[in-house]
Amino acid sequence: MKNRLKVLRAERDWSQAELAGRLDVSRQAVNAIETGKHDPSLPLAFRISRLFEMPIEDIFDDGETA
Amino acid sequence: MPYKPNQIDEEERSKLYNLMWVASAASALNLANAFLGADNIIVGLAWGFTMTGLFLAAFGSYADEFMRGRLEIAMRFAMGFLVLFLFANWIVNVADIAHSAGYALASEETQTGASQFIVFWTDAQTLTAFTAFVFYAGYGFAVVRERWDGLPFFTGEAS
Repeated sequence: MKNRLKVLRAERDWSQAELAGRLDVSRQAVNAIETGKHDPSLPLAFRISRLFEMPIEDIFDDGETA
Repeated sequence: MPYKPNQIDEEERSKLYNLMWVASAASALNLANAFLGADNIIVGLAWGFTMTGLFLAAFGSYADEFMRGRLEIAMRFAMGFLVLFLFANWIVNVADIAHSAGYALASEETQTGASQFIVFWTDAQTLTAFTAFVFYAGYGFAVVRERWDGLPFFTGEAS
């Protein structure tokens, strides 16, 4: 699943470790999500959504058109 | 975000990933020691480190979901190995081979004639070392699959 996490993180000048700390996950987990190796669970996706104050679908793209 | 006492931070969470590699090496040492039979402090430490990954899989609710995904694959490997072991035991018992094995192990007269394989087969410590090693092999497989997802052999979706 594609996502804009890396861009959003860069906009705020956060390191992967900083973002991981805010999301209660590890730096490795953030890296895996950014590179598309891991799709976050729904609770984590909501945490990401709340942190960036954006709807989930504006951050993650599952490739399906509405 | 609500305050959660005793919750580990990002640094500690990241350290768990490194700890898994140390534990993997320790499990390989344990497996080798099943054949070597050494009895020293290094072996003792190796048992301790081997335990950590299994402990994390069983009780480590503080590990993040990415780690838990890897641990799930590791547990599948370990369970798969135990299924094969139990299946082999079932075949051996159904075929009544175990009777001769039990006789060989129980009888002093034939004790020396018992094959090394039977002793090996019935040793709990060896089975534990094997199971733990397969667990960490599964963890390694999960990591490799993440790196090379998309290749023909690794078509499964990473957990």
